[in-house]
Amino acid sequence: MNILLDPFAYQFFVKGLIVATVAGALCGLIGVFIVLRGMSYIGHGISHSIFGGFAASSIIGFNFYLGAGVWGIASALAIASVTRKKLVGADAAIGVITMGSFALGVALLTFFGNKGPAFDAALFGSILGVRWSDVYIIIGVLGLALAMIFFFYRSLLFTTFDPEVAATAGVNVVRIESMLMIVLSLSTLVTLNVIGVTLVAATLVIPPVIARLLTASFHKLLAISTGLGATFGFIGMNLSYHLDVPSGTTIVLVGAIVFTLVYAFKSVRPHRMPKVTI
Amino acid sequence: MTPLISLSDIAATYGGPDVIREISWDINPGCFTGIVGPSGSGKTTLLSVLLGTMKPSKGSITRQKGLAIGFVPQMESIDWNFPVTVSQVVMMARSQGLRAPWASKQEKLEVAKVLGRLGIGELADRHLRTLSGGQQQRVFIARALIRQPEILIMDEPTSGLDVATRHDMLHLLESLQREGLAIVLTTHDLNGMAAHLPELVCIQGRIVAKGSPEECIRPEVLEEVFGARMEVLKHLGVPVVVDELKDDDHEHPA
Repeated sequence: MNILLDPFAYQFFVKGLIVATVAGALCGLIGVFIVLRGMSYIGHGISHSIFGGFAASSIIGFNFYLGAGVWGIASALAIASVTRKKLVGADAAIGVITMGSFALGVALLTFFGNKGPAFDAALFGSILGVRWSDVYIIIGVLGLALAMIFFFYRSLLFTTFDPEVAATAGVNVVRIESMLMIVLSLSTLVTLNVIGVTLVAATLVIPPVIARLLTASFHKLLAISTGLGATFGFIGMNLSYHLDVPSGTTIVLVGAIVFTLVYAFKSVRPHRMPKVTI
Repeated sequence: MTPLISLSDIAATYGGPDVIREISWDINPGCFTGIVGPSGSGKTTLLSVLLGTMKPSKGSITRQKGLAIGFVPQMESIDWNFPVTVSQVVMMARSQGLRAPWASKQEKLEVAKVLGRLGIGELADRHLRTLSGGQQQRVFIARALIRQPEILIMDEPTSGLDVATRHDMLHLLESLQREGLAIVLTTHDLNGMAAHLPELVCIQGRIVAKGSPEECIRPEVLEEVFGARMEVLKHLGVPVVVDELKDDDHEHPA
Protein backbone atom coordinates (compact mmCIF):
# COMPACT_ATOMS: atom_id res chain seq x y z
CA MET A 1 0.00 0.00 0.00
CA ASN A 2 2.85 2.35 0.91
CA ILE A 3 4.30 2.08 -2.52
CA LEU A 4 1.07 3.55 -3.93
CA LEU A 5 1.12 6.42 -1.43
CA ASP A 6 4.85 7.15 -1.66
CA PRO A 7 4.65 9.68 -4.51
CA PHE A 8 2.14 11.79 -2.56
CA ALA A 9 5.03 12.83 -0.33
CA TYR A 10 6.42 14.85 -3.24
CA GLN A 11 4.82 18.20 -3.92
CA PHE A 12 5.72 18.08 -7.62
CA PHE A 13 3.71 14.85 -7.91
CA VAL A 14 0.70 16.25 -6.05
CA LYS A 15 0.66 19.32 -8.30
CA GLY A 16 1.08 17.12 -11.39
CA LEU A 17 -1.68 14.79 -10.22
CA ILE A 18 -4.12 17.67 -9.69
CA VAL A 19 -3.30 19.13 -13.10
CA ALA A 20 -3.58 15.73 -14.83
CA THR A 21 -6.95 14.97 -13.20
CA VAL A 22 -8.42 18.41 -13.90
CA ALA A 23 -6.93 18.39 -17.42
CA GLY A 24 -8.53 14.99 -18.05
CA ALA A 25 -11.91 16.25 -16.84
CA LEU A 26 -11.60 19.42 -18.92
CA CYS A 27 -10.65 17.60 -22.11
CA GLY A 28 -13.36 14.98 -21.54
CA LEU A 29 -15.95 17.75 -21.18
CA ILE A 30 -14.92 19.83 -24.20
CA GLY A 31 -14.16 16.70 -26.22
CA VAL A 32 -17.87 15.79 -26.34
CA PHE A 33 -18.60 18.82 -28.54
CA ILE A 34 -15.50 18.24 -30.63
CA VAL A 35 -16.25 14.56 -31.34
CA LEU A 36 -19.95 15.15 -32.05
CA ARG A 37 -19.04 17.95 -34.47
CA GLY A 38 -16.84 15.51 -36.39
CA MET A 39 -13.73 17.57 -35.54
CA SER A 40 -11.78 14.93 -33.60
CA TYR A 41 -8.60 15.92 -35.36
CA ILE A 42 -8.82 19.54 -34.17
CA GLY A 43 -7.23 18.85 -30.77
CA HIS A 44 -4.23 17.34 -32.52
CA GLY A 45 -4.09 20.33 -34.83
CA ILE A 46 -4.45 23.01 -32.18
CA SER A 47 -1.84 21.44 -29.94
CA HIS A 48 0.60 21.47 -32.87
CA SER A 49 -0.44 24.99 -33.73
CA ILE A 50 0.22 26.11 -30.16
CA PHE A 51 3.72 24.70 -30.59
CA GLY A 52 4.29 27.49 -33.14
CA GLY A 53 3.24 30.04 -30.53
CA PHE A 54 5.39 28.25 -27.93
CA ALA A 55 8.45 28.66 -30.20
CA ALA A 56 7.70 32.27 -31.11
CA SER A 57 7.06 33.36 -27.52
CA SER A 58 10.20 31.53 -26.39
CA ILE A 59 12.32 33.41 -28.93
CA ILE A 60 10.98 36.88 -28.24
CA GLY A 61 10.94 36.25 -24.49
CA PHE A 62 7.15 36.60 -24.24
CA ASN A 63 5.04 34.88 -21.57
CA PHE A 64 4.43 31.25 -22.71
CA TYR A 65 0.71 31.17 -21.81
CA LEU A 66 0.01 34.51 -23.43
CA GLY A 67 2.02 33.90 -26.60
CA ALA A 68 0.99 30.31 -27.22
CA GLY A 69 -2.58 31.03 -26.07
CA VAL A 70 -3.11 33.89 -28.50
CA TRP A 71 -1.53 31.78 -31.27
CA GLY A 72 -3.80 28.79 -30.49
CA ILE A 73 -6.97 30.89 -30.29
CA ALA A 74 -6.12 32.62 -33.59
CA SER A 75 -5.58 29.22 -35.25
CA ALA A 76 -8.84 27.78 -33.85
CA LEU A 77 -10.87 30.81 -34.96
CA ALA A 78 -9.24 30.64 -38.40
CA ILE A 79 -10.22 26.94 -38.68
CA ALA A 80 -13.80 27.68 -37.62
CA SER A 81 -14.03 30.55 -40.08
CA VAL A 82 -12.58 28.60 -43.03
CA THR A 83 -14.80 25.58 -42.24
CA ARG A 84 -17.94 27.72 -42.02
CA LYS A 85 -17.42 29.06 -45.55
CA LYS A 86 -17.43 25.43 -46.82
CA LEU A 87 -14.91 26.09 -49.59
CA VAL A 88 -12.54 23.76 -47.74
CA GLY A 89 -13.52 20.84 -45.46
CA ALA A 90 -12.88 20.95 -41.69
CA ASP A 91 -10.18 18.25 -41.88
CA ALA A 92 -8.30 20.07 -44.63
CA ALA A 93 -8.58 23.44 -42.85
CA ILE A 94 -7.20 21.90 -39.64
CA GLY A 95 -4.36 20.25 -41.56
CA VAL A 96 -3.25 23.36 -43.43
CA ILE A 97 -3.54 25.94 -40.65
CA THR A 98 -2.18 23.96 -37.73
CA MET A 99 0.56 21.99 -39.45
CA GLY A 100 1.77 25.21 -41.07
CA SER A 101 1.98 26.71 -37.60
CA PHE A 102 3.81 23.64 -36.23
CA ALA A 103 6.32 23.76 -39.10
CA LEU A 104 6.89 27.45 -38.40
CA GLY A 105 7.55 26.62 -34.73
CA VAL A 106 10.12 23.96 -35.61
CA ALA A 107 11.82 26.34 -38.07
CA LEU A 108 11.96 29.15 -35.49
CA LEU A 109 13.43 26.85 -32.82
CA THR A 110 15.99 25.49 -35.30
CA PHE A 111 17.14 28.98 -36.31
CA PHE A 112 17.09 30.72 -32.95
CA GLY A 113 17.29 27.88 -30.40
CA ASN A 114 14.92 27.29 -27.50
CA LYS A 115 15.04 29.85 -24.69
CA GLY A 116 11.76 28.92 -22.97
CA PRO A 117 10.25 25.74 -21.41
CA ALA A 118 11.82 22.36 -22.29
CA PHE A 119 11.23 21.19 -25.86
CA ASP A 120 10.73 17.50 -24.89
CA ALA A 121 8.29 18.38 -22.13
CA ALA A 122 6.20 20.35 -24.63
CA LEU A 123 6.07 17.37 -26.99
CA PHE A 124 5.40 14.50 -24.56
CA GLY A 125 4.38 16.09 -21.27
CA SER A 126 6.14 16.24 -17.95
CA ILE A 127 5.03 16.83 -14.39
CA LEU A 128 8.38 18.24 -13.30
CA GLY A 129 7.66 21.74 -14.54
CA VAL A 130 4.18 22.04 -13.00
CA ARG A 131 3.85 25.03 -10.67
CA TRP A 132 1.02 26.01 -8.34
CA SER A 133 0.17 28.79 -10.78
CA ASP A 134 -0.44 26.07 -13.44
CA VAL A 135 -2.82 24.34 -11.02
CA TYR A 136 -4.82 27.55 -10.47
CA ILE A 137 -4.87 28.34 -14.20
CA ILE A 138 -6.19 24.91 -15.21
CA ILE A 139 -8.88 25.03 -12.49
CA GLY A 140 -9.80 28.49 -13.77
CA VAL A 141 -10.14 27.19 -17.35
CA LEU A 142 -12.30 24.27 -16.13
CA GLY A 143 -14.51 26.80 -14.34
CA LEU A 144 -14.74 28.83 -17.55
CA ALA A 145 -15.68 25.72 -19.57
CA LEU A 146 -18.35 24.72 -17.03
CA ALA A 147 -19.79 28.25 -17.02
CA MET A 148 -19.89 28.30 -20.83
CA ILE A 149 -21.66 24.94 -20.96
CA PHE A 150 -24.13 25.91 -18.21
CA PHE A 151 -25.14 29.24 -19.74
CA PHE A 152 -25.02 28.19 -23.39
CA TYR A 153 -25.95 24.50 -23.06
CA ARG A 154 -28.90 24.71 -25.44
CA SER A 155 -27.11 26.80 -28.06
CA LEU A 156 -24.08 24.50 -27.92
CA LEU A 157 -26.30 21.44 -28.31
CA PHE A 158 -28.26 22.97 -31.22
CA THR A 159 -25.20 24.25 -33.09
CA THR A 160 -23.46 20.90 -32.60
CA PHE A 161 -26.47 18.94 -33.85
CA ASP A 162 -27.57 21.18 -36.70
CA PRO A 163 -25.68 24.49 -37.13
CA GLU A 164 -27.56 25.60 -40.25
CA VAL A 165 -31.00 25.26 -38.68
CA ALA A 166 -29.71 26.80 -35.44
CA ALA A 167 -28.81 29.91 -37.44
CA THR A 168 -32.33 30.12 -38.89
CA ALA A 169 -33.77 29.78 -35.37
CA GLY A 170 -31.98 32.90 -34.17
CA VAL A 171 -28.94 31.28 -32.53
CA ASN A 172 -25.73 33.27 -33.05
CA VAL A 173 -23.79 30.32 -34.46
CA VAL A 174 -20.59 32.28 -35.13
CA ARG A 175 -20.45 33.52 -31.53
CA ILE A 176 -21.14 30.07 -30.07
CA GLU A 177 -18.54 28.37 -32.30
CA SER A 178 -15.96 31.07 -31.55
CA MET A 179 -16.59 30.67 -27.82
CA LEU A 180 -16.13 26.90 -28.08
CA MET A 181 -12.94 27.31 -30.09
CA ILE A 182 -11.50 29.76 -27.54
CA VAL A 183 -12.27 27.41 -24.63
CA LEU A 184 -10.85 24.48 -26.64
CA SER A 185 -7.63 26.40 -27.31
CA LEU A 186 -7.29 27.38 -23.66
CA SER A 187 -7.98 23.77 -22.58
CA THR A 188 -5.32 22.47 -24.97
CA LEU A 189 -2.85 25.09 -23.82
CA VAL A 190 -3.18 24.39 -20.09
CA THR A 191 -3.13 20.63 -20.73
CA LEU A 192 0.13 20.67 -22.72
CA ASN A 193 2.33 20.69 -19.60
CA VAL A 194 1.30 17.21 -18.51
CA ILE A 195 0.03 15.59 -21.69
CA GLY A 196 2.28 17.07 -24.36
CA VAL A 197 1.65 18.29 -27.90
CA THR A 198 1.68 14.85 -29.49
CA LEU A 199 -0.91 13.19 -27.23
CA VAL A 200 -3.31 15.93 -26.12
CA ALA A 201 -5.74 15.10 -28.94
CA ALA A 202 -6.29 11.63 -27.47
CA THR A 203 -7.49 13.10 -24.17
CA LEU A 204 -10.08 15.08 -26.11
CA VAL A 205 -11.30 12.13 -28.15
CA ILE A 206 -11.05 8.92 -26.07
CA PRO A 207 -13.36 9.85 -23.11
CA PRO A 208 -16.32 11.04 -25.25
CA VAL A 209 -15.97 8.09 -27.62
CA ILE A 210 -16.16 5.64 -24.69
CA ALA A 211 -19.02 7.60 -23.12
CA ARG A 212 -20.91 7.48 -26.43
CA LEU A 213 -20.72 3.69 -26.30
CA LEU A 214 -22.30 3.78 -22.84
CA THR A 215 -25.16 6.27 -23.21
CA ALA A 216 -27.56 7.79 -25.73
CA SER A 217 -28.29 10.83 -23.58
CA PHE A 218 -26.44 14.07 -24.22
CA HIS A 219 -26.21 15.32 -20.64
CA LYS A 220 -25.14 11.88 -19.39
CA LEU A 221 -22.55 11.85 -22.16
CA LEU A 222 -21.10 15.10 -20.80
CA ALA A 223 -20.98 13.72 -17.23
CA ILE A 224 -19.53 10.30 -18.14
CA SER A 225 -16.92 11.75 -20.49
CA THR A 226 -15.80 14.29 -17.87
CA GLY A 227 -15.58 11.56 -15.21
CA LEU A 228 -13.66 9.22 -17.49
CA GLY A 229 -11.21 11.97 -18.46
CA ALA A 230 -10.51 12.78 -14.80
CA THR A 231 -10.09 9.07 -13.95
CA PHE A 232 -7.65 8.49 -16.83
CA GLY A 233 -5.66 11.55 -15.73
CA PHE A 234 -5.49 10.34 -12.12
CA ILE A 235 -4.57 6.72 -12.91
CA GLY A 236 -2.24 7.67 -15.77
CA MET A 237 -0.30 10.11 -13.62
CA ASN A 238 0.20 7.48 -10.89
CA LEU A 239 1.37 4.96 -13.48
CA SER A 240 3.70 7.54 -14.96
CA TYR A 241 5.46 7.86 -11.59
CA HIS A 242 5.72 4.13 -10.93
CA LEU A 243 6.69 3.10 -14.47
CA ASP A 244 8.92 6.14 -15.08
CA VAL A 245 7.22 6.83 -18.40
CA PRO A 246 6.10 10.33 -19.63
CA SER A 247 2.73 11.24 -18.10
CA GLY A 248 1.00 11.92 -21.43
CA THR A 249 1.81 8.39 -22.59
CA THR A 250 0.35 6.62 -19.54
CA ILE A 251 -2.78 8.81 -19.44
CA VAL A 252 -3.54 8.06 -23.08
CA LEU A 253 -2.72 4.35 -22.70
CA VAL A 254 -5.16 3.98 -19.77
CA GLY A 255 -7.88 5.57 -21.93
CA ALA A 256 -7.03 3.37 -24.92
CA ILE A 257 -7.19 0.19 -22.79
CA VAL A 258 -10.57 1.18 -21.31
CA PHE A 259 -11.87 1.97 -24.80
CA THR A 260 -10.76 -1.47 -26.04
CA LEU A 261 -12.51 -3.21 -23.14
CA VAL A 262 -15.76 -1.23 -23.48
CA TYR A 263 -15.78 -1.66 -27.25
CA ALA A 264 -15.20 -5.41 -26.95
CA PHE A 265 -17.97 -5.68 -24.33
CA LYS A 266 -20.40 -3.69 -26.50
CA SER A 267 -19.50 -5.72 -29.58
CA VAL A 268 -20.40 -9.08 -28.04
CA ARG A 269 -23.49 -7.81 -26.19
CA PRO A 270 -26.72 -7.26 -28.17
CA HIS A 271 -27.26 -3.53 -28.68
CA ARG A 272 -30.00 -1.88 -26.68
CA MET A 273 -30.85 1.79 -26.94
CA PRO A 274 -31.31 3.15 -23.42
CA LYS A 275 -34.45 5.15 -22.66
CA VAL A 276 -33.54 8.66 -21.58
CA THR A 277 -35.36 11.75 -20.38
CA ILE A 278 -34.62 15.48 -20.41
CA MET B 1 -52.66 41.29 -48.62
CA THR B 2 -49.17 42.12 -47.33
CA PRO B 3 -46.73 39.35 -48.29
CA LEU B 4 -44.82 37.56 -45.53
CA ILE B 5 -41.70 37.63 -47.69
CA SER B 6 -41.24 39.56 -50.90
CA LEU B 7 -38.37 38.85 -53.30
CA SER B 8 -37.57 41.39 -56.01
CA ASP B 9 -35.19 40.53 -58.87
CA ILE B 10 -33.02 38.34 -56.61
CA ALA B 11 -29.76 36.72 -57.72
CA ALA B 12 -27.45 34.59 -55.55
CA THR B 13 -24.07 32.97 -56.12
CA TYR B 14 -21.47 30.87 -54.29
CA GLY B 15 -18.68 32.82 -55.97
CA GLY B 16 -19.08 31.59 -59.57
CA PRO B 17 -22.00 32.13 -61.93
CA ASP B 18 -25.39 32.99 -60.42
CA VAL B 19 -27.13 29.88 -59.02
CA ILE B 20 -30.45 31.72 -59.04
CA ARG B 21 -31.31 34.92 -60.90
CA GLU B 22 -34.25 37.22 -61.73
CA ILE B 23 -36.34 35.79 -58.88
CA SER B 24 -39.34 37.97 -58.05
CA TRP B 25 -41.94 36.34 -55.84
CA ASP B 26 -44.39 37.33 -53.08
CA ILE B 27 -45.04 34.70 -50.41
CA ASN B 28 -48.46 35.43 -48.95
CA PRO B 29 -49.97 34.40 -45.58
CA GLY B 30 -51.64 30.97 -45.69
CA CYS B 31 -50.01 29.90 -48.97
CA PHE B 32 -49.12 26.27 -49.68
CA THR B 33 -46.44 26.40 -52.34
CA GLY B 34 -44.01 23.88 -53.77
CA ILE B 35 -40.71 24.95 -55.33
CA VAL B 36 -40.18 22.39 -58.08
CA GLY B 37 -36.95 21.60 -59.87
CA PRO B 38 -34.25 18.96 -60.30
CA SER B 39 -31.01 18.77 -58.29
CA GLY B 40 -28.86 21.80 -59.04
CA SER B 41 -31.77 23.97 -60.14
CA GLY B 42 -31.31 26.37 -57.21
CA LYS B 43 -34.13 25.12 -54.91
CA THR B 44 -31.98 24.95 -51.78
CA THR B 45 -30.24 28.23 -52.62
CA LEU B 46 -33.63 29.90 -52.92
CA LEU B 47 -34.62 28.44 -49.52
CA SER B 48 -31.38 29.78 -48.00
CA VAL B 49 -32.23 33.25 -49.31
CA LEU B 50 -35.78 32.98 -47.90
CA LEU B 51 -34.37 31.87 -44.53
CA GLY B 52 -31.83 34.69 -44.48
CA THR B 53 -28.83 32.36 -44.18
CA MET B 54 -27.59 33.47 -47.61
CA LYS B 55 -27.39 37.06 -48.80
CA PRO B 56 -28.51 37.71 -52.37
CA SER B 57 -25.87 39.19 -54.65
CA LYS B 58 -28.53 41.29 -56.36
CA GLY B 59 -32.09 42.43 -55.73
CA SER B 60 -33.98 43.05 -52.51
CA ILE B 61 -35.82 40.89 -50.01
CA THR B 62 -38.46 42.22 -47.63
CA ARG B 63 -39.73 40.23 -44.66
CA GLN B 64 -42.72 41.20 -42.53
CA LYS B 65 -41.49 42.85 -39.32
CA GLY B 66 -40.97 40.23 -36.59
CA LEU B 67 -41.72 37.35 -38.97
CA ALA B 68 -41.20 33.96 -37.28
CA ILE B 69 -39.98 31.27 -39.69
CA GLY B 70 -39.97 27.54 -38.92
CA PHE B 71 -37.52 25.47 -40.93
CA VAL B 72 -37.46 21.71 -41.49
CA PRO B 73 -34.17 20.58 -43.10
CA GLN B 74 -33.66 17.62 -45.42
CA MET B 75 -33.69 14.42 -43.39
CA GLU B 76 -30.53 13.29 -45.22
CA SER B 77 -28.59 16.03 -43.40
CA ILE B 78 -29.42 14.69 -39.90
CA ASP B 79 -26.93 12.69 -37.82
CA TRP B 80 -29.26 9.93 -36.59
CA ASN B 81 -26.69 8.62 -34.10
CA PHE B 82 -26.52 11.95 -32.29
CA PRO B 83 -27.36 11.32 -28.62
CA VAL B 84 -30.66 13.22 -28.32
CA THR B 85 -34.26 12.32 -27.61
CA VAL B 86 -37.34 13.60 -29.40
CA SER B 87 -38.03 16.13 -26.60
CA GLN B 88 -34.47 17.41 -26.69
CA VAL B 89 -34.67 17.96 -30.45
CA VAL B 90 -37.91 19.94 -30.10
CA MET B 91 -36.46 21.96 -27.21
CA MET B 92 -33.54 23.03 -29.42
CA ALA B 93 -35.85 25.64 -30.92
CA ARG B 94 -35.72 27.40 -27.53
CA SER B 95 -31.97 28.04 -27.58
CA GLN B 96 -31.66 31.77 -28.19
CA GLY B 97 -29.70 33.80 -25.62
CA LEU B 98 -28.89 32.78 -22.06
CA ARG B 99 -31.18 30.01 -20.77
CA ALA B 100 -31.02 27.35 -18.08
CA PRO B 101 -29.81 24.00 -19.47
CA TRP B 102 -32.92 22.15 -18.32
CA ALA B 103 -36.46 22.58 -19.69
CA SER B 104 -38.87 24.54 -17.48
CA LYS B 105 -42.26 23.08 -16.55
CA GLN B 106 -43.90 25.46 -19.05
CA GLU B 107 -41.50 24.38 -21.81
CA LYS B 108 -42.15 20.70 -21.09
CA LEU B 109 -45.89 21.38 -21.41
CA GLU B 110 -45.36 23.17 -24.72
CA VAL B 111 -43.24 20.29 -26.05
CA ALA B 112 -45.90 17.76 -24.98
CA LYS B 113 -48.60 19.88 -26.65
CA VAL B 114 -46.85 20.22 -30.00
CA LEU B 115 -45.87 16.53 -30.06
CA GLY B 116 -49.48 15.59 -29.22
CA ARG B 117 -50.75 17.88 -32.02
CA LEU B 118 -48.56 15.96 -34.48
CA GLY B 119 -49.60 12.57 -33.11
CA ILE B 120 -46.22 11.62 -31.64
CA GLY B 121 -46.81 12.53 -27.98
CA GLU B 122 -45.86 9.05 -26.76
CA LEU B 123 -42.44 9.26 -28.44
CA ALA B 124 -41.09 12.15 -26.33
CA ASP B 125 -38.42 10.09 -24.54
CA ARG B 126 -37.39 7.97 -27.52
CA HIS B 127 -34.04 8.33 -29.24
CA LEU B 128 -34.30 9.73 -32.78
CA ARG B 129 -32.75 6.66 -34.37
CA THR B 130 -35.50 4.38 -33.09
CA LEU B 131 -38.26 6.22 -35.00
CA SER B 132 -39.72 5.51 -38.45
CA GLY B 133 -39.10 7.95 -41.34
CA GLY B 134 -42.50 9.60 -40.97
CA GLN B 135 -42.11 9.96 -37.19
CA GLN B 136 -38.66 11.48 -37.63
CA GLN B 137 -40.06 14.02 -40.09
CA ARG B 138 -42.80 14.95 -37.59
CA VAL B 139 -40.20 15.55 -34.85
CA PHE B 140 -38.52 18.20 -36.99
CA ILE B 141 -41.88 19.75 -37.89
CA ALA B 142 -42.61 19.89 -34.13
CA ARG B 143 -39.28 21.67 -33.57
CA ALA B 144 -40.24 24.23 -36.20
CA LEU B 145 -43.82 24.66 -34.88
CA ILE B 146 -42.85 25.25 -31.24
CA ARG B 147 -41.54 28.65 -32.33
CA GLN B 148 -45.13 29.44 -33.42
CA PRO B 149 -44.06 30.51 -36.91
CA GLU B 150 -46.21 32.27 -39.49
CA ILE B 151 -44.44 30.35 -42.24
CA LEU B 152 -43.05 26.81 -42.38
CA ILE B 153 -40.22 26.23 -44.87
CA MET B 154 -39.34 22.60 -45.65
CA ASP B 155 -36.51 21.16 -47.75
CA GLU B 156 -37.65 18.00 -49.61
CA PRO B 157 -40.07 16.83 -46.86
CA THR B 158 -41.13 13.65 -48.64
CA SER B 159 -37.72 12.54 -49.83
CA GLY B 160 -37.13 8.90 -48.89
CA LEU B 161 -40.66 8.33 -47.52
CA ASP B 162 -42.83 5.43 -48.66
CA VAL B 163 -46.16 6.11 -50.39
CA ALA B 164 -48.39 5.72 -47.29
CA THR B 165 -46.11 7.93 -45.16
CA ARG B 166 -45.97 10.50 -47.95
CA HIS B 167 -49.79 10.64 -48.01
CA ASP B 168 -49.86 11.08 -44.23
CA MET B 169 -47.32 13.89 -44.49
CA LEU B 170 -49.30 15.64 -47.20
CA HIS B 171 -52.51 15.43 -45.10
CA LEU B 172 -50.66 16.73 -42.04
CA LEU B 173 -49.30 19.71 -43.99
CA GLU B 174 -52.77 20.40 -45.45
CA SER B 175 -54.26 20.49 -41.97
CA LEU B 176 -51.49 22.84 -40.73
CA GLN B 177 -52.11 25.12 -43.70
CA ARG B 178 -55.87 25.12 -42.99
CA GLU B 179 -55.02 26.35 -39.48
CA GLY B 180 -53.45 29.44 -41.10
CA LEU B 181 -49.80 28.46 -41.46
CA ALA B 182 -48.07 29.41 -44.73
CA ILE B 183 -46.05 26.49 -46.10
CA VAL B 184 -43.27 26.62 -48.69
CA LEU B 185 -41.48 23.39 -49.55
CA THR B 186 -39.06 22.13 -52.16
CA THR B 187 -39.70 18.94 -54.09
CA HIS B 188 -38.62 17.14 -57.23
CA ASP B 189 -41.43 14.61 -56.78
CA LEU B 190 -43.92 15.67 -59.45
CA ASN B 191 -46.60 12.99 -59.05
CA GLY B 192 -46.34 12.24 -55.33
CA MET B 193 -46.11 15.82 -54.08
CA ALA B 194 -46.15 18.71 -56.58
CA ALA B 195 -49.36 17.69 -58.37
CA HIS B 196 -51.28 17.79 -55.05
CA LEU B 197 -50.21 21.29 -53.99
CA PRO B 198 -52.37 24.34 -54.73
CA GLU B 199 -49.44 26.44 -56.01
CA LEU B 200 -46.10 25.67 -57.65
CA VAL B 201 -43.02 27.66 -58.55
CA CYS B 202 -40.93 25.80 -61.15
CA ILE B 203 -37.30 26.89 -61.22
CA GLN B 204 -34.22 26.22 -63.27
CA GLY B 205 -31.93 29.00 -62.05
CA ARG B 206 -34.80 31.42 -62.66
CA ILE B 207 -38.56 31.04 -62.30
CA VAL B 208 -39.80 29.20 -65.39
CA ALA B 209 -43.46 28.96 -64.38
CA LYS B 210 -45.61 29.92 -61.40
CA GLY B 211 -49.22 29.00 -60.68
CA SER B 212 -51.50 26.01 -60.16
CA PRO B 213 -50.34 22.44 -61.02
CA GLU B 214 -52.42 22.65 -64.21
CA GLU B 215 -50.55 25.80 -65.22
CA CYS B 216 -47.09 24.50 -64.30
CA ILE B 217 -47.13 20.77 -64.98
CA ARG B 218 -47.05 21.02 -68.75
CA PRO B 219 -44.62 19.26 -71.13
CA GLU B 220 -42.91 22.47 -72.31
CA VAL B 221 -42.39 23.72 -68.73
CA LEU B 222 -41.13 20.34 -67.53
CA GLU B 223 -38.70 20.09 -70.45
CA GLU B 224 -37.22 23.49 -69.61
CA VAL B 225 -37.03 22.73 -65.89
CA PHE B 226 -35.90 19.08 -65.94
CA GLY B 227 -34.21 18.98 -69.35
CA ALA B 228 -36.22 15.92 -70.46
CA ARG B 229 -39.37 15.37 -72.48
CA MET B 230 -42.31 14.19 -70.38
CA GLU B 231 -45.94 13.49 -71.09
CA VAL B 232 -48.67 14.86 -68.87
CA LEU B 233 -51.84 12.79 -68.42
CA LYS B 234 -54.83 13.49 -66.21
CA HIS B 235 -56.16 11.19 -63.50
CA LEU B 236 -59.20 12.34 -61.48
CA GLY B 237 -58.34 15.94 -62.49
CA VAL B 238 -54.78 15.68 -61.18
CA PRO B 239 -51.88 15.91 -63.64
CA VAL B 240 -49.78 12.75 -63.86
CA VAL B 241 -46.31 12.93 -65.40
CA VAL B 242 -44.81 10.02 -67.31
CA ASP B 243 -41.50 9.79 -69.16
CA GLU B 244 -41.92 10.28 -72.89
CA LEU B 245 -40.78 7.03 -74.48
CA LYS B 246 -39.33 6.85 -77.98
CA ASP B 247 -40.56 4.04 -80.23
CA ASP B 248 -37.41 1.93 -79.73
CA ASP B 249 -37.76 2.31 -75.92
CA HIS B 250 -40.81 -0.01 -76.15
CA GLU B 251 -38.70 -2.87 -77.45
CA HIS B 252 -37.82 -5.24 -74.65
CA PRO B 253 -34.70 -7.39 -74.73
CA ALA B 254 -35.38 -10.92 -75.86
